[in-house]
Amino acid sequence: MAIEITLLNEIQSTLVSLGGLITPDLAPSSAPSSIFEGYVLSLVLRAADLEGADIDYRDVESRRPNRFVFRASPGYIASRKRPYTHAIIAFPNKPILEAHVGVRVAGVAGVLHQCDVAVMKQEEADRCRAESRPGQAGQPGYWVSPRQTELVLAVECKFYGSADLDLDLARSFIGLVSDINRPSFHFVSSTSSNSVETLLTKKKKNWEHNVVPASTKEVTRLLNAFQTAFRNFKASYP
Amino acid sequence: MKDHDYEMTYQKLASTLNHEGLAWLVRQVTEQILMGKISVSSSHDGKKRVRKGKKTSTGTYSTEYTARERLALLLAATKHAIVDRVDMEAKVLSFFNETSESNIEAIEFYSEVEDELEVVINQPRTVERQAHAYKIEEMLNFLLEGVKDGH
Repeated sequence: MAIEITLLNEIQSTLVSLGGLITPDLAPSSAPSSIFEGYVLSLVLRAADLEGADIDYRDVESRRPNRFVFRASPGYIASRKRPYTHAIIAFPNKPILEAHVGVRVAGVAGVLHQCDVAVMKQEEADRCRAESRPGQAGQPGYWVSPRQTELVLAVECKFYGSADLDLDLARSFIGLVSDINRPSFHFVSSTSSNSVETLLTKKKKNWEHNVVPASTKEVTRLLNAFQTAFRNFKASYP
Repeated sequence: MKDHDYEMTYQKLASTLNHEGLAWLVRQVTEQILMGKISVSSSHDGKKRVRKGKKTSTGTYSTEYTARERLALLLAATKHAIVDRVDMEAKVLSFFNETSESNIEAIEFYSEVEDELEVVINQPRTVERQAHAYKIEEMLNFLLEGVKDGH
């Protein structure tokens, strides 16, 4: 009994200290999805690097940035509102690719969807940038989005605090994949959920769970899946 | 520790998290707790087994979390939201620095919906956040051990 009371007192004083340590900097007011998307982008690029690609970075004006700016809400690939950064993936003697965070992509039905991480041919990205027109005095803006047929790899990222992902997320992903019909479209989450995993497996969708730096096995498996996508891309251009 | 103690600790931790801007995390864990632990029972060749006047049900069912399990869930979720997030920041920063030809001053995530800078990652801030996060992790590990041992 005495041990229990001591433990309870220690727990209470730990909780008080904990409160003092959780600064606004460490406690985002909503789930840190943006950082997770940035992290998944870094895994996509690492997979490309492992497959022999050169990696570089550009902003929408084709400058090499020293401040990387990514979208935290969906946007158009040609937007010049901020100097958004994208990665350039160059495999020897293959079409150049670009990797973007949070761009809208046109699905099979013509509907625009947000792609958390999208890898596409640079030719398609260039076409969208050339055909888009930002708003000017008396003229509304006009934005062209990449077509889903030109995606080499796409990822839906979910950072969830709780260990059981909302099943709605899996249902949404299944709907999304029906309109962005690419073989290498992955559902990647920071935690796990039996229901979500059962549903996605039964529906034969690509997924990976517990993707955080400390989870070596899951991160390696995901890197391998991304590498397979790049391997297939290279093989389609002999 | 008795169920009442686990419950009281849960409420104190939830209150701390709500106060410190992590209400979204408490909500997600609450949703999980309300859902319960989902299981799918096997039906043994599809035949229902009858035991002494009771029919064994087949299909999907949910079991409620115990008070100890609820506390463990909230502690694990807190660790994930704070510590794993900071680790990801550090990985992102180090990867882009490693692969970029120019020296990266910062990585920014901008929301056009709120028209604001949501997150900024740079070396000094990430190092400071990591130091804080690891102190929090020590405390959470201490609490998790207490829950696991179930004194």
